[in-house]
Amino acid sequence: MKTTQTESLTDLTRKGTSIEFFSAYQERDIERMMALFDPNGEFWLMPLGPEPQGTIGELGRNFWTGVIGAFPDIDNTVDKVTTEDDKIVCNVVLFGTQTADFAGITNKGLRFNSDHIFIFRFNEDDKIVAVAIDWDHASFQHQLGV
Amino acid sequence: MFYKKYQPAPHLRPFVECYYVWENAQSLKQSITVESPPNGFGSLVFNYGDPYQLLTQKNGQTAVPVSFLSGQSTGSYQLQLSGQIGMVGAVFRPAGLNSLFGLPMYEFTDERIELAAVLGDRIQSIQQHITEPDSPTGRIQLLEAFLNTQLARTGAETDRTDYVANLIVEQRGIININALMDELYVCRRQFERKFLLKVGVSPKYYARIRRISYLCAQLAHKRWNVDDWHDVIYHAGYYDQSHFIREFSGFMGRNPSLYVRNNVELANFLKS
Repeated sequence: MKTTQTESLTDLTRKGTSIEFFSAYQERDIERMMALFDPNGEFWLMPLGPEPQGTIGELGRNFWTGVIGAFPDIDNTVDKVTTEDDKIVCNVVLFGTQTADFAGITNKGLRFNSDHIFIFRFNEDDKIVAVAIDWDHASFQHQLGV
Repeated sequence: MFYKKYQPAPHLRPFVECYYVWENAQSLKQSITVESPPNGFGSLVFNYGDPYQLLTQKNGQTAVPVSFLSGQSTGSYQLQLSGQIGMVGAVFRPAGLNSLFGLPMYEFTDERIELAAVLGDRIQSIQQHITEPDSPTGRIQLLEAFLNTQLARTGAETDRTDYVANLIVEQRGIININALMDELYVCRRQFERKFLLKVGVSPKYYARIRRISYLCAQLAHKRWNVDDWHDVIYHAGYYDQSHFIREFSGFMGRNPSLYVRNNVELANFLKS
């Protein structure tokens, strides 16, 4: 059984890993981002369905590659990183300018700025085994001219 | 119930906001619940009274470590105390804990982490001796001696992030962060990363915490007698009533009128 002290320190490590993800995302470094995950872990875009849509190694990689391609200046501000049970919850503002069509949204050269919530679940080795991302999709689309 | 704040020595003021001692002369026959809004400051606390519990909306009820380090709180929380209350703490300026101890403060947001896990053997001595003084000032002196040693060991200094974070406090959170970054000629990304590291949340989020924190302190000072909500909302820097209610409910877990009616903040237990 883990002690409270070990659990606390585990949470601290996992928060650090979450911050590392957003730092790699800022650098648009897909390989650095992917190194933090178990590629077989669940990838879930919450506004687009009630369950995870694929694996981090395939769908996650394709999604983030697509985002970085369509929004080459994509950037983020981490507002806060907190613990909820075995999950790390990150409140993050994402922003960027669209330069190519993306996920059915025609490029109009518009900029978005959107509050996102990233929920990471970890395994015993502190690798991320599930990621769920939530945001106001209607507002996101509206900002991009849909 | 005895609750008193103490000023730190001048050389520690860039890092330490204040010290406090909280005790009760007579053991509590029934447990009490005391709640606190987020205040924008981290702290280092030693408990020499009976163990107590922390209650948060997110994590429910958890036991509070005997001595702990806490970072920014992003929501109100409740303490459930019984028996003997006895605690002494140092409340740090927003970036003070990082400047003095070099800790990445985003790890401590909404956490109370056992001090030994964070600082190791360094805190053993103070932990062993904190019960010995027979007066609050004696305990404060012990705590200050510990911080003096840390300051001497690290030669800690404040920097531009400390300045900005303190400015946000001074301005009661009513500040345009983008304009401030332009004024300081800082790179947004670097500034935000440093701020997250040193304070524990983003600059804009910190300004929101300070705004609600200052407002709650003002309300508590008036014993939650609000004559004119519009005046309160205007002076706290909110756009309008719905903005205020959304922010207040988000941080405090219930709407302003409910909070004013039934809060159990510490001020309720102290003589005015």
